[in-house]
Amino acid sequence: MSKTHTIVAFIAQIIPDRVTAINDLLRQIESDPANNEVLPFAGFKSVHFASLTICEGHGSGQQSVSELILEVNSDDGFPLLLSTLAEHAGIRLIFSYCAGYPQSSPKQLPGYLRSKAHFPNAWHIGNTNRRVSQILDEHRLYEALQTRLDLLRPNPECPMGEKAIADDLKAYARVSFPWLKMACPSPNTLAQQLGLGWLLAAASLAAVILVGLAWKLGLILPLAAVVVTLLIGAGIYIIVLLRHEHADDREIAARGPLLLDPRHAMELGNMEDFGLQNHLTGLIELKPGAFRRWTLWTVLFLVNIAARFSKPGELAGIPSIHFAHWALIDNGTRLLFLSNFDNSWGSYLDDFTDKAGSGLTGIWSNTRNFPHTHLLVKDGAADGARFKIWARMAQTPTRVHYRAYPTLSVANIERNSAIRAGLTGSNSGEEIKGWLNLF
Amino acid sequence: MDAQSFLNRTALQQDEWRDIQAIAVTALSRHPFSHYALLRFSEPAGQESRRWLQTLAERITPICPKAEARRHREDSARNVALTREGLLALGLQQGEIETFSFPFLEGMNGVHRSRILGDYGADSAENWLWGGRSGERFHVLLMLFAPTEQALRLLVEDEHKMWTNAGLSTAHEIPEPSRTSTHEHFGFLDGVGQPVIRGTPNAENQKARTGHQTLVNAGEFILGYINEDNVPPVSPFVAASRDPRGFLPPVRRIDSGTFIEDTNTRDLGANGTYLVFRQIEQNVAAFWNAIDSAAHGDVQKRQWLAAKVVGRWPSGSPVTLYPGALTDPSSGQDDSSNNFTYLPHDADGRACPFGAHIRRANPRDSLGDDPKIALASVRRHRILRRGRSYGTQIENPMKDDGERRGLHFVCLNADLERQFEFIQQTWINNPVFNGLSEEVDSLVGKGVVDYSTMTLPACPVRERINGLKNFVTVRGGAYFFLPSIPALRLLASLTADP
Repeated sequence: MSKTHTIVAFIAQIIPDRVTAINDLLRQIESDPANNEVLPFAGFKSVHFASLTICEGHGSGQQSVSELILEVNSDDGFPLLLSTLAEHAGIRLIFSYCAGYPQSSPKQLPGYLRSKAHFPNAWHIGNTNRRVSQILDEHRLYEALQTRLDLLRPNPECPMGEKAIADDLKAYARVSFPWLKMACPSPNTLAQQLGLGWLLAAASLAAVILVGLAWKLGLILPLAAVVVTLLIGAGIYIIVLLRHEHADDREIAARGPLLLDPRHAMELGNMEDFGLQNHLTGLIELKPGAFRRWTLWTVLFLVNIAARFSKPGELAGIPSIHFAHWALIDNGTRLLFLSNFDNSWGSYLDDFTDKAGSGLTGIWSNTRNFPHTHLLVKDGAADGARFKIWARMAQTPTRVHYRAYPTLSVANIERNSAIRAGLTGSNSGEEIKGWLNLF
Repeated sequence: MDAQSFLNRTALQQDEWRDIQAIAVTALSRHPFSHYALLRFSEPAGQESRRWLQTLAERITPICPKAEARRHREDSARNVALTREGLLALGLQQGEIETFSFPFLEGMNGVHRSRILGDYGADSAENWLWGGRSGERFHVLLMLFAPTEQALRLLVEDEHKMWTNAGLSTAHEIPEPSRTSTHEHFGFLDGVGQPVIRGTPNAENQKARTGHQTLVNAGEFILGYINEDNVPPVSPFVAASRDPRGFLPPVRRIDSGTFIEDTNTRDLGANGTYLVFRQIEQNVAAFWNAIDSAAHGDVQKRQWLAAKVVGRWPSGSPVTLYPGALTDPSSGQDDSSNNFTYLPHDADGRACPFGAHIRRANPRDSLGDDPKIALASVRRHRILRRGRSYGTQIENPMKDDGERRGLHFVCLNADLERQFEFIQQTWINNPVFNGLSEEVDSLVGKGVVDYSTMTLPACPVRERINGLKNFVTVRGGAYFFLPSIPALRLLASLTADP
């Protein structure tokens, strides 16, 4: 779990004869997610992004049920978030259409919500260590400084030097934004500052020390035995994996090429590209069996570690993700994926194909209908067009997408924080140059 | 065909040139006179119009080897593309039409497509002259090209007679007075940085002309070939029973690493592609007056500022290669230099701003930290531009003469979403492109918000110019399928009942 944010999804079954009612309710909310009358998300000052989705027809025949997913990415700790949500009339109304809702005793609502909460196995935060208020404040600061620069500039007769400009901006900011006096924690986590390279170096060093220690203590044979056992284990794993992939390939061949259903694509498109930021919901079944379940659990565990050490603002080189999370649910039989990202769905998936194909394939190849994959991470997403058809078909239309800062990209927020950081302390000439380049 | 020869199809195969319409590899610059007609079949298309399509297929100009092309230089040229409605009128069934690319099915005037393309307000598909949401629907785009004005008149008369006699009606005609100028209406050299399809003779020409060539796998532009992902693009298909005369090749794909030739299906897309057409009106006087006002009436600064907005001087010289220039370094003569990347000389955008038109439309190596990944990624987002200017040249660019002029923007790509739409949405119209805030391409960009600022990185600190917006208006447009010549034959032979 993140120390600074709560990243959570609540999933509840909708009472079958309430599906129409909850759809009507969501229609009211989606008309204006921030300020509608039912559930005005802008009232939750600590929420960065939130989404509501109805997943239709999980299970089959008589057992088929629709599910409601409420995703919240918040600055608050989970207990505070839970009580805030439980007190909100809109949240109560929505969940009153769901099975098991404590109609008669509202006091039990926090407990009810807690029982519906799913925490991610892996998550990513684009702009770490920043609260909603800080992101908004820093953007106001950025805009004010840009306006100030516009006023400073048109004076070709008496051009100002870099230091004079920087000093002016700093003095102006100090007067106009008293909150700058308050200390600001580093926007990046310790793990990010260390980086993935550090993690690998530390792991290698630990291995060397282990071998050295074993040598010294005369335990080199037992150690070798452990290593050989691990290697054999890995070999067996790969053999089992290849057998699974072979079976998948036969299924893919029997099924023929995956086709896009234009009605589904139209439904998804109708919810997209209203402004800069978009949302993706996927709730899909894993391939059956414990093998895929444990493989995916392990992959998500590793992805989560890699995400902690990722470069600020990026996940595996992808610079456009604000909040994303993966959660194994229903005893690891289904995978929930929620992502809040900049720009279009197509550009987001293209970025994956270009930069993070193997990580992505390593996760999604464990779910049903995923395109042909080799050794867990190869092929798969590398065929961008067919990967996109699969992704479209695996996606559920997000009904409501709330965005606290809808015009800001991950890179914008990083830049704004860098501008703020440069306002304090004394800077060298080179630092001032670099800082002015941020505008 | 075996797996290896299939995977080798990164280049166009010369023995298939005769199946591919010429516009795929040539801008037909020897045929500067052109006329576009939007036609309708009766629904479903009658025998007469099928026969018309059948004979038209034999008149279509295919790709020609150079020597042959020289012989045909005096001939007129015809290429043809179809809309979704056109394919349905010819008898494609719902299940068959759904194998086409989704943006093509939704259509350029679809509401989601409008958000993707930035067609709001004055550009809204509600207001288009053709192709809009309320206008008359059409089935066929017939593109006619001729080397002389006289030849074009004869060609149009001829063809007009034939389509009318065959029972087709004319939904809209887009006559295009010739402009033999290499410069578009704002005054800049156009058509410089084009990718080249692997396996065509254009590569050497381009290298000679621009000092540079961008060879791109044929599958990025023509269906049935291998693309930059090393797979064939998704292509429409029909059941083999629909093609008893065997016009089309079987569907070929690599499934789970195994080459499969699916004898039950036929590749309707092979040697065809998707064609984008947008009629973009240019308000030349508005552009130059806005630039003039940003330059405070300084004539020299006006040229300099316009070059920053475009990323090239009017001559075509890239501002990145002439970082200190205050006037056009190649004034008076065309400069098609294209042999440059941004990171080595212009990483901070002080010569060519990040938001300049050519840096948005083709960011080369400049997006992200790794230039290799950036260049490879850009190769997956290229289009072949086949646009032509229309309308007379303005006499005084500062003074609006009330004439309508602009660009008939035409481009080809195998994947509308990943190529044309991506460039438009993620680069041209993206308000946060390359770390910027709240600005779009100042020359042609659009958005739901009318941004009008452009940042020019400079020393000691950036300059910002305001008031740059709305120099172009979309007046019409549509997505088309450009079939191979055998696919045309098949479509003409379809019967209504499969």
